[in-house]
Amino acid sequence: MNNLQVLAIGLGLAGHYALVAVGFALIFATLRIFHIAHGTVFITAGYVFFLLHRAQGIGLLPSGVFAVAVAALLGLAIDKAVYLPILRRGGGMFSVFIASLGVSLIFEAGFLAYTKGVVSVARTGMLDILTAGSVTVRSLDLAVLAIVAMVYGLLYLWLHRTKVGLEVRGLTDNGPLAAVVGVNVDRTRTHIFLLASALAGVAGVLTAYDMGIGPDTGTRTLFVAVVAVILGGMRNLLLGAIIGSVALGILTAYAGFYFPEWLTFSVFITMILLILVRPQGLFG
Amino acid sequence: MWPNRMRHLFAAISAVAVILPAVCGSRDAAGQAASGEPYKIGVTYPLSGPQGAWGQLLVPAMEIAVQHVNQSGGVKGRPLALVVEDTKGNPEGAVSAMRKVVQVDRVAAILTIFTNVVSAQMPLADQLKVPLLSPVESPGLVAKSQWAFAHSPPLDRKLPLIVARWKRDNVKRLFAFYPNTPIAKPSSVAVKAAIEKLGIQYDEVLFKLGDTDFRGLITRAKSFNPDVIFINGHGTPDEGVIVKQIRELGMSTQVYNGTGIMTSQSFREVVGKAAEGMIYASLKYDVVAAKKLMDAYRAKLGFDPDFAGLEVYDMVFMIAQAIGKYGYNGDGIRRGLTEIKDFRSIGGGLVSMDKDRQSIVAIALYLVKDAVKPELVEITP
Repeated sequence: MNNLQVLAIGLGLAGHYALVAVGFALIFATLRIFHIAHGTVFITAGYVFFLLHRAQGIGLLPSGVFAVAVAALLGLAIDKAVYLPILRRGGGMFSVFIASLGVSLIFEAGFLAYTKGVVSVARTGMLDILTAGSVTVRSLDLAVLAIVAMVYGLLYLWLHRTKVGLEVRGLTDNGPLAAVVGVNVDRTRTHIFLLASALAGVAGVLTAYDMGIGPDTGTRTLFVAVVAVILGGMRNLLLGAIIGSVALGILTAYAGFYFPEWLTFSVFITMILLILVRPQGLFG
Repeated sequence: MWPNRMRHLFAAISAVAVILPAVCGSRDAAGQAASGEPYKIGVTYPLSGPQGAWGQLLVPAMEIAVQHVNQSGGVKGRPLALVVEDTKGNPEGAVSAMRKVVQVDRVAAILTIFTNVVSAQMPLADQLKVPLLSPVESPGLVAKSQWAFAHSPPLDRKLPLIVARWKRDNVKRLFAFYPNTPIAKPSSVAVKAAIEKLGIQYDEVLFKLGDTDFRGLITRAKSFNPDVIFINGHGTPDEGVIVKQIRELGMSTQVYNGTGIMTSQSFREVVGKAAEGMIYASLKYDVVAAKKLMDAYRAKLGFDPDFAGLEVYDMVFMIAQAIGKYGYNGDGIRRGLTEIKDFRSIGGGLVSMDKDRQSIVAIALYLVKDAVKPELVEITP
């Protein structure tokens, strides 16, 4: 029964990873930007939610919606104010990567100075739990999985049933060619950053409510999301992100159970072995 | 006539000359604020990082102590002042902060905290001849340096109280959580030694400070099917998250803690109602006796100080007493701290230093009855 319990925990973790991973994958696959500051967007939403809901006592839903909106706008602002100017001045993707890292470190230092490193948990109450035999599942884990299923469903429809979605897929397959055949790259870029950042915001809100956040939670979560994307591969954006997240969530939970002192080692050695065998990822 | 008048005048001047300093002296003692160059005390505490909350919560208690010392005349008429440096709670930060306060600010004594920090600072204290005074609870730690002192109940002195209760409750299986810091090893050794003769089955895990999901570790604890869980860390919010997740994984196992964790505001904010029913051992203190500190702290931060707040308040007075007795230099303060006997703690009891420079204080076992208010009930056998 322990294995089932660990599996349940792994799936809950996968839900959190999947929301961040798909946004990161969306930006990387279409715009080739290694958006480290995606973790910053995630954690900013978490802190905004914490401040509104826990510190100011504002309702769960309005606080969450506002935090997600802030995340979406922050992601877009980072692109418009940092990435685009660098690219327009002839900077390459490595310059953008360094700038993204800089943004991430600036925000992390700011959050550290403000919170003094104390974990911020946006709830005081206990979560409802459901028990089946010796397996206990928290209501929030089920809610997170439901949100992930809904988000991925909507993303699938957006990618396959809308004109912007078609343009996004065009950019994923061949960016320069997509621009030549008339894809409005600037507009699509705006949509991509808004959407990916909003998804990171949803994850940030859920994490702040569930387990709590610290100043470096954004970087840590992004790291995990990147590994999930690498594991899943980027040829199929949605499938790669979700399979990678589920694989990583389960792996993390089992490593945490069987080899707690070797958790990070277990996760990364698995990733390296997989890359050696399948450099393109599971669904690359 | 002149000789007589001169004699009277001389007598009057002499009387004034003798009486005036005595009067001033007694006024100082009665509450005239201290003045002049302050005696500086270094404070190397974590102000940021996962353990940063401790600095944020304890430095104000030291500041209040300094204020109280200064309001009542200071030390030999001179005020005390704190020089605070952030250690970030890690050994590198500890050494760098200590070098700064000793070699730049020229302090003659240091207030510090945490086993890993004190372990890193002790060789430097030996070299620089500066006494360190901390609330560390790792058994035997301060015995390793003539310059290290601790004012707190160490775990090996608290364990007999906890173990007596485990014996009473016929505990057969114990699972322990320790942070991945140097506190883990001495804690583990002390717990294993304390339960050795009781035949209690034992398992343990280390948790990583700063993590927020401990459910893999807790499932491991669950699979061990313990009668009790023992958590002994630094009283950080992480431990609150663990207690919360223990309950949310459906475990109703009695949780024990080796620190006065529940008195910590940062822990209480995170753990919420999940702490109800928890039992912990800590310094025994009387909130009525500590009213002077409690009121000032509440006015400053809006809530009560935790047990360590009382300890660090005492420490400022201990150093002040040592300076008053042997002067403002490392050796003198060390001597003064070594000789502490029947020192009146702000928490009510009397404190003495043992031969290993660890204070001997009264210890109590508390049950968290209401975690939100919070209501703590002393259950010391």
